[in-house]
Amino acid sequence: MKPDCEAIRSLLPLVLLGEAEPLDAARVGDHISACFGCREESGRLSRLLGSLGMAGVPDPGAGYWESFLPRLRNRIAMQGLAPGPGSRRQAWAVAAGVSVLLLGAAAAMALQPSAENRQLMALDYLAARTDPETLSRTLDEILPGSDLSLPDRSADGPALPRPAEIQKALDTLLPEDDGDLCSAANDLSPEARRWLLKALMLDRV
Amino acid sequence: MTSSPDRNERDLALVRRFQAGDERAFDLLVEEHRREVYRLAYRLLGNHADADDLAQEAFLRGYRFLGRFRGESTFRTYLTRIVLNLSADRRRARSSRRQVSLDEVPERELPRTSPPAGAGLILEATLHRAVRQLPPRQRETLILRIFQEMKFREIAAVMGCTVGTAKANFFHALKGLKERARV
Repeated sequence: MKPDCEAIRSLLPLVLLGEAEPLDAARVGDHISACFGCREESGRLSRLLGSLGMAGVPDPGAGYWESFLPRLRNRIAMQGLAPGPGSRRQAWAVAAGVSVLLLGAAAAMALQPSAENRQLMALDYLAARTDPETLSRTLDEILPGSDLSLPDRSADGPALPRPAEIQKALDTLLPEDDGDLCSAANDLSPEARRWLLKALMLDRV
Repeated sequence: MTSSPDRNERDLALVRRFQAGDERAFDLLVEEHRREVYRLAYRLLGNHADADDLAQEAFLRGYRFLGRFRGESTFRTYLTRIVLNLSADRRRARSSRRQVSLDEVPERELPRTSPPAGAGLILEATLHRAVRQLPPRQRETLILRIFQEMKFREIAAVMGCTVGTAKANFFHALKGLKERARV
């Protein structure tokens, strides 16, 4: 294999998928026209991608598709979900929830933990709902250079992320929890819940 | 099915109508995306029963949380992210119950499409098993790129990673497939 072959082979998938930069595509084209090994590799990869693309999913049939929406509507009704999150019913529920939380927060003022504790609670919340590998990778990407991969309780540990960064990690890792933080936080102890909500709300209020 | 600007705008208009209280708009979103969501769920889980359950659950979540959708990503990205998260939840729940070798997946649960007709194509069952044996992030990236026809920037948005990480996951997935399928 020539010195350039490794770089060319790393570009091959992008070229075959049509996502390579024009200059890279031209470079790969020039190379494989002169390099038998890379031409063979390009053929193998093309065959693999072609085979993958042909692997289909069996269609469950017209009856299934016709029943899909009615069954979904039935589940929505069975679970008593609010009809449209913008509705008045939902707004009242949110307002009531916020009131309860504010009252709880006011009652907890005397027990206020340190900002560091609040941030650790928020990180614990994320860690409890995300596999360690994903959490670690996402925090690394969101907080580049922070050297923080997992909550670290040691005194010599790296600096904690700011609440806005925790919120960003939360949004990235648990997008479906967006808007339902209060119900998700119900799994925590009342004290932990207060810390978490305060940590997350620091930048919002 | 690929994402187009027209489709994204149409989706966003339906989301806005739903947020304003129009229930029918949600039905139209379901009709537009149900096949794609089901197919993605099937590829992630490998059988009809689980795929159906996950597809329904994904739309249920969409219904619950769509009120807070701000349109910073496309609706398709939003929905795909929900499917991946639900799939990951199931994977974690399953692995905490018992460890199952991927080779134990019954053959009858493999896709029942016709074998590829072209000479030299790789046997579908071999490929399917090889895909299922990839690490989760690599498998998800591969499925999103090849079958959902998402661009790497869309995959990055769905998976909450950088474009570079998405590409790296894809390269590793192809490498793993080549080794497992002995291509």
